[in-house]
Amino acid sequence: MEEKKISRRSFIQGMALGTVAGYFASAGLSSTVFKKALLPKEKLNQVDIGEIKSLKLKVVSETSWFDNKVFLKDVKDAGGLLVNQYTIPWSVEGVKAGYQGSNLGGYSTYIEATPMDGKVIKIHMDTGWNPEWMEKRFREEGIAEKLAKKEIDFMVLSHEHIDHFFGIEATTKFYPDIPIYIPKGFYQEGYDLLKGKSFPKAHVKNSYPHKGKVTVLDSKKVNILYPGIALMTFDVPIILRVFGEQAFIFNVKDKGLVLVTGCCHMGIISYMEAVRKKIKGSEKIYAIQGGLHISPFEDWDPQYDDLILAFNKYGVHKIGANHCTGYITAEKMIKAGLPVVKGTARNMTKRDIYLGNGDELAIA
Amino acid sequence: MEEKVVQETSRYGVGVVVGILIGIALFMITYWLLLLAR
Repeated sequence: MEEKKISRRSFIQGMALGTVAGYFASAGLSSTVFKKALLPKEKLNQVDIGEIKSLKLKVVSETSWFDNKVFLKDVKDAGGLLVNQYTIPWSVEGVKAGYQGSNLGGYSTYIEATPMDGKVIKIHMDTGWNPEWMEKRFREEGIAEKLAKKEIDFMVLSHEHIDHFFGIEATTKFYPDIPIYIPKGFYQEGYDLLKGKSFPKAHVKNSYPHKGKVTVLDSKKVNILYPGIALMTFDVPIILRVFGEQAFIFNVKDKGLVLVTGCCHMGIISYMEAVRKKIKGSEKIYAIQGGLHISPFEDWDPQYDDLILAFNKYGVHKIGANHCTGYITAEKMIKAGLPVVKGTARNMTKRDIYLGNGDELAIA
Repeated sequence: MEEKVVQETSRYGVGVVVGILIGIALFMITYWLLLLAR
């Protein structure tokens, strides 16, 4: 007699294999094929900012302070990175590596944008920290003369930080009624300093009160100043009790977009992503210039490697980084094959690995 | 006495098909739970 019996063991074995295969196949398909087929395409609400013919960027000063250790000690002694910058007694004497003993330097960039027609637009971006150092640099680069003759159209303050703003009198001394664009988020102390108030504890003063127009720009829209020249504001909290930063977007004909930053506290990837989403022509980010805020204190965290990898995605042709980018970052970028523009290591910039004081980046 | 012969029929293939269906269902449940947890 023959009895037929179904094998339970083989059924369970098959089912186990099928369950695992089914689970992973579903996961795989849903994350690739279905995602592409079913998810709606990203809607971009891009603004056409217009075009300029060419652009010239001059690094007036990218050396915000001359000795990192002294700067960090000042911050630490005051209570840390969240302390109000107007209350910190910054080291202004006895610093060997400093300018005339002071650790304070500053950040400032001079920009000339040639429109498609009409006269060149001259922009003064940021005014540094130490008025003596900044005045010296302004004189050496011919900025002081241009300010005195009111040849410069306006000043943009990228943010309220010490090294971008506290040297205000170095600008107002030559051109007290210069029009200024600031990002929304300046504290009352900032407005007071513009008007001539001193903050003796922080060794900050403004002996030449600003008398011109101050325009506050917010993050609600892309702020087009002239055709091909725009500013984007980012609502970001920043160390030393500062809020908000703005950065430039220039659209150079036949080249693409050129992004010019002060410190880029919003994060370089966030900045480029915001530009990608909001600016027409952002598939071609041709160049970036200014501080990228990756390793300002020359430390390195493995997560910064991801930033450098992410940079590759944007296909930037020229990286005129400096200031708070950090030398380590520049080294890593060069190693990763990114097009970092070299400088000349003059005027107290220590290394030629990136654009330093007095160096230029021309885009035409 | 007649000898009894037991012949086992394999249902491995059926098991695989049932398993795949269970796998898909499990994935959908976990996906849905993850969506709820967001």
